[in-house]
Amino acid sequence: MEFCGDRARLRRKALVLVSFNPGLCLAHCLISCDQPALSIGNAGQLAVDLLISTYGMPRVGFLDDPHVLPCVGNDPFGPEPRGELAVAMELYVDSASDITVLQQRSPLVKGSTLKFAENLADWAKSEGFENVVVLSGLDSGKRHLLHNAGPQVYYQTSASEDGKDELCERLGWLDVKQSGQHTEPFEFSVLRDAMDGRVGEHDQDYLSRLPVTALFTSFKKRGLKVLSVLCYCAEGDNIPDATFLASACDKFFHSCNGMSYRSWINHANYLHIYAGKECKNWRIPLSWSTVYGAPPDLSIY
Amino acid sequence: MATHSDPLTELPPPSRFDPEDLELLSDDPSQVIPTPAPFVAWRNDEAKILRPELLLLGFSRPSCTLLHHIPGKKLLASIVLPGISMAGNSIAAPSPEDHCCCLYALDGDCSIVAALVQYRIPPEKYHEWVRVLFAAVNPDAILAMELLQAENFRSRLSVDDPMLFTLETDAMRAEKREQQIPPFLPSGSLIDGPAAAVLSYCQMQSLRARLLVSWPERDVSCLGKSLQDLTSYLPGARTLGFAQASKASVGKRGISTYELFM
Repeated sequence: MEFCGDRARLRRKALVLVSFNPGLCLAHCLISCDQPALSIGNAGQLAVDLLISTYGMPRVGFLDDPHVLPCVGNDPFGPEPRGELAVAMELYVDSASDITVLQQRSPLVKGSTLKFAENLADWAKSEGFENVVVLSGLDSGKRHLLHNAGPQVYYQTSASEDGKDELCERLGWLDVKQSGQHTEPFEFSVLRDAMDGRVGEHDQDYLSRLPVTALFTSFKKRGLKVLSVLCYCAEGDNIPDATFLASACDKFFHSCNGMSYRSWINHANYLHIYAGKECKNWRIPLSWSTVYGAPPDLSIY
Repeated sequence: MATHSDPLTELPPPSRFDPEDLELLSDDPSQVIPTPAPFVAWRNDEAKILRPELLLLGFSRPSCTLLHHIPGKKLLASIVLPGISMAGNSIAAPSPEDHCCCLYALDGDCSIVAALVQYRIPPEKYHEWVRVLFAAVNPDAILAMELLQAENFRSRLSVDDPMLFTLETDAMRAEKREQQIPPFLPSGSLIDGPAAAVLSYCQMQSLRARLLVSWPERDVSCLGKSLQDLTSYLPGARTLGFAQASKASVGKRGISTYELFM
């Protein structure tokens, strides 16, 4: 994986990136719709768009990998389209939180999930990132614990032996194992057995087969602390899911930076999030103005 | 009468895996047969690096048809992509219907080189193909042409209304421009495929590159006029007659099956 840009501007406390799940085709923003969605509902990608747009994160570089399908477009954030070229994988930084955000806008070449995950993990390790946060949506059709039917953030962490994280628990997140999903490390041998039908007849194996687990395992193998932030959603209008996931990520980083939970919820900008309502303080990216495609042709009436 | 399975009463199949999930994950490395890399076959059997002032890349049928009608061009090389069948390709001289990618010098001193990409590059080969191209051609500027992709365009499209948009690398935008350039592609729409691979490569390598996306497929005139305007700064381009070539190529394109039944 090749990095092009200003290496000195990378913030290495954490790398935030999105996962890519197979699913229905979905046209969303600057994401190719003729390929499987990057994440269920593209929730991860939309959440990252919100974070970048709201915090005005500057772009500091690009990543180039042969396993990522190329795509190009015009400036996705605005406020006016300036003709600034956007490509498939771009890196943005937030100095206040000391994090680097990787936005991935197109899916992978078929059959290259593992190779991509390993390339990305090698690059993150070589650049000296301390922590990695992976955002992803999960298919709500695979959710089978009815008492968790409302919006809920799930997490999976490599930071502790028992898989628990004190900060995540304090934020009200649930360990993904509580959703009934198996979280065994993603191993190629498991996959091969699954393809032969020898294992994995149960929906609990859904998460262990997903690319988010491939990323999790690849980063963990290289000694990086990795946290997956997950939420169940369905294909459709995923702006609320994106807002939910972005809010969760935002909460997490503010808490990490020493703002106590109490002082955080008293911050005026975040009262909407805490109340569970859609936050009106997120800055909607310019590219979202056409998220549902062209307006209807009125001449047919 | 055919019997149909009843999903409500019958037992589910043994595996609940979504085949699409499995296809996205990697194949067993021991089963994958690597395909040979693309390579450049030079006409004079002499490997070289071309250094033109401008490299024109035609990825769409209208652009390839237009470039084919530039008179006096000289065939320099072909980018061979293993796995692409050459059955039906003409032997005497390349034609717009061939499945090939030929490099031509449009003027006498190779200051303008054109690559007509007339085959479908598999997505897994984009990365390699772009690097093979730029290993053989080291231009000052790149101008690629592609068709607007309806599925990736976030506004209304009509086959009766020609459109032309552009995307540029940062290096190209930083230049002082005198020519009139088409409007930028609206935010929210995107281009993928080999043209995107070329533009992404140029962005990362800080090359001066521009991508023109045109619509509809049968309209060549606005592409020809824009090409004329954008290359007017090159002395070698003034005699090429892009506008005349676009007029000559009107009606030469074969009608697709879709259009037969419109």
